[in-house]
Amino acid sequence: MSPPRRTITIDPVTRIEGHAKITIQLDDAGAVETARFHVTEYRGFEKFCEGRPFTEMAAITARICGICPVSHLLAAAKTGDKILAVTIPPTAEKLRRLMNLAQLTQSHALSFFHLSSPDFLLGWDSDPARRNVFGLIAANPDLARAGIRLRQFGQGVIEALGGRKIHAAWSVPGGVREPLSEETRLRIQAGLPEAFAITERALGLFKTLLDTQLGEELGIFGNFPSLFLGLVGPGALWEHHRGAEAGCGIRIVDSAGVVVADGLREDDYASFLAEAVEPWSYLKFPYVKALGPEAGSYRVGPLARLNLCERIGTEQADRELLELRQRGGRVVTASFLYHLARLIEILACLEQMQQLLDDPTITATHVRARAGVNAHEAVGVSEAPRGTLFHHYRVDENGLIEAVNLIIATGQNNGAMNRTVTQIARHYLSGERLTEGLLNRVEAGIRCFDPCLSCSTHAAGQMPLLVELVGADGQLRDVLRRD
Amino acid sequence: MSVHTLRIDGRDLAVPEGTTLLQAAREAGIAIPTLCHLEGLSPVAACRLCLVEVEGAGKLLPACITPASEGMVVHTATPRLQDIRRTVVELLFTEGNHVCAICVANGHCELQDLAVSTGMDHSRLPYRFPDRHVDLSHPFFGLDHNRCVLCTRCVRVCDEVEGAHVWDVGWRGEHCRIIAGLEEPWGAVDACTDCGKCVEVCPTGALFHKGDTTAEKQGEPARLQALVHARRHQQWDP
Amino acid sequence: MGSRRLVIGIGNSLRQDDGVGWHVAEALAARVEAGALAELEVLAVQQLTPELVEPIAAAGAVVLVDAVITAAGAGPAGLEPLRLEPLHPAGASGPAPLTHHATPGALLALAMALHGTGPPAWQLLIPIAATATGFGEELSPGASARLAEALDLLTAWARHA
Repeated sequence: MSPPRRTITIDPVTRIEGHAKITIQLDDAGAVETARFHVTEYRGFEKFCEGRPFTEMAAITARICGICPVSHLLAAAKTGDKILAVTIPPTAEKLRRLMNLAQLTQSHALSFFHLSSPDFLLGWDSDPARRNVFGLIAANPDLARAGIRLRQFGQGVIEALGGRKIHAAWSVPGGVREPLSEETRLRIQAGLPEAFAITERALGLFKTLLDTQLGEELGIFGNFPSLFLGLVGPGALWEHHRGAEAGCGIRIVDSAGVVVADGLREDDYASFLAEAVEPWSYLKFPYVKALGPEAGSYRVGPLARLNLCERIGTEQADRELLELRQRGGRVVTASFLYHLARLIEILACLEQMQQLLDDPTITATHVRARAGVNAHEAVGVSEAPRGTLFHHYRVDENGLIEAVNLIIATGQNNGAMNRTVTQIARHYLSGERLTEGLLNRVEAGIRCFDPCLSCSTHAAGQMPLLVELVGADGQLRDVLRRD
Repeated sequence: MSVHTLRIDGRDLAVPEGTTLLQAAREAGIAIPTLCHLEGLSPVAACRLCLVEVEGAGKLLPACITPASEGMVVHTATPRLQDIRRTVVELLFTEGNHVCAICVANGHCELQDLAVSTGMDHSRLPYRFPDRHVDLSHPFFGLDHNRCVLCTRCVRVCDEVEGAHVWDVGWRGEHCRIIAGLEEPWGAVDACTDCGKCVEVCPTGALFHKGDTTAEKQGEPARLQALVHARRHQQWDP
Repeated sequence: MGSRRLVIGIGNSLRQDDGVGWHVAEALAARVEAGALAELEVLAVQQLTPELVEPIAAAGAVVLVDAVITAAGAGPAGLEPLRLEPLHPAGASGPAPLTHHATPGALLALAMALHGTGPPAWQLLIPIAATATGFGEELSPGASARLAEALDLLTAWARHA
């Protein structure tokens, strides 16, 4: 029997502001069968790019997101490097790395301090009206302030490198547009000690909470075996920027720690990744082709990057990584520990920024290689805060875009988010009523992945969340809406 | 040489015979907006931005090619003219595809500057969104027809200054566009000397250096003017 | 709290009328750069993010300029007027948001909570139609007329000591 058909009408307003919907499907016995996290996301950027010179891709794709344009900027520039078929000047590579480290720092800071920490610092049973950043300020004003300072530090580095006005096109095919001045280098360096102190304090606090109060979340909030995918560097060190070259590339591990694939080239992504399409979501569901949509489902992002690498390569972060593995195993399967992974990555970013800023060549002025079109197809890859980001362009002999495909991190975590929501619903749903307590935990489960939802327009305020409970007969049993 | 006296915007001026209204106004510090006009190239009066009112003329006259004559009374900034200029800029914007945010000339664009100076913050006319292409066949330069305003500065500089005559205007009406050679890809035209003068005089981002990214292109019409001046007066020292 | 006044314009300039707040800020910033308005800080942002708390807390008074989708929108004739509303701290109750951007009220509340004091604040809402947020840089005639009005209003506000 074919499943019942539903027609979903998306009116222009919801399509633009975007909204998230969760459907919890019950089976005949009244237990949770599946839960689905739908995103009515509207993307037209791929079409928009056709016929344009590839040199414009960075500026175009940076507009996809107002929160994190840097990730697209870097991926676009790296794809452009490959169309030019050049090795960019070493200083340009270092400056791009510096910008990505700053991007990871500011993005993780927002996710941890501002969005997620109220959940676990104030507790599930605290007054829901106060379980937000304001409750956090009341309970721990220093932590709330520190989170904003840390984010500002990251944003400040990005602005110092790219400039407020031109940062949409600072990173270009062949390198970067502006070298780093000695004055800016010193200014960034001066901000590092405070950033370290904030991160260390947050780590200490979060680990204490994990030891004392958050045991259940580790087991329920998206704890399941899956593959993990992302970049690793030479010697399988933690990597956030470099794609496939000698000794580096994309690695896939399973939850037992077996390296399923290693040294994969981003250029071949279509040979090892496939995208499933589901009628109920605009987001596609990428999976590892050889293993099929179920077994091939994988997670990306901070936790994946830490699971994939052997070491981070800097002292403090490696110490924290060891502790993480003692807590969660060599390959950590608990999605709740994405939060801890974010803090460890911030520490890694700060340490690596320090190393880069101490490098005397960081202020060298040869930062851009010039060349013509030397390849007609290219795939660039970068680790965005939320995970691996692929840009794939095909150009004609003169460099005009013929086709574009973007594989974004939130899409790759889509399957894992659904499994997380299902696991939480199974554990906390009782009867046929949706409760605030369930909704809180479902939201927190999604927040583990820090998903980037529709954000190419912003007007009309917040993204509402709608949760629907559907019986085995297809009838709606309950609805909860949060604006 | 005889001298003409005339009045522009209420100011009495005396100029040598052969002076255009545009030159007379500019020498008196009266600003008239222009786009196709460029000092050093022959005037063609194509863009109609420099239209002025001459009392008794019965129609509006382009200041760039209208010679000053004895007793003329000229108005350069009446509400009617201001509205016409704004409309001209709106027509230019709506006729092509001008996306400033990703354009190589963003921030250094004469069309953008005109929109600001004429107060055109939106168009009262519908956008046409024509389907136009980009020619990147030349090894060093690109031509984006989406951003071309058909000012023909490139046509003139190539013909009058470089002497190569690579560019021309092809087709008619809404299909009108700049063509290289006999409607060939730019890179296939042997006559092109790769001098880049057309890129330097282009008022928008239509002609650009390949590899330029957003806001990186700066037009250099002053170089052309220096060259023309040096040739005309055989003065090669700056 | 300083004496400097702050205007924050919000919007995506590549999504037509969605960007009208951003355009207002850009135009206002141009006036400041031209020296016409000395004591004004202007920020044009694509989205509101928490670090904006710092300039808000440091300002003497704040106006946030944003588009708001209404049923009629700006309309072809631009019938719906601008809405200037006092901005109240908000968002202090209810769970943390799922998205990465903040609301104007939440930013003000955050500034007050973190710094103990928040400046007097308003939001200037420019009505737009949901259908006018496709890809493109151009504003609809209605939104554009509102932009000019908003600009005049803010200029007068900035000049009025």
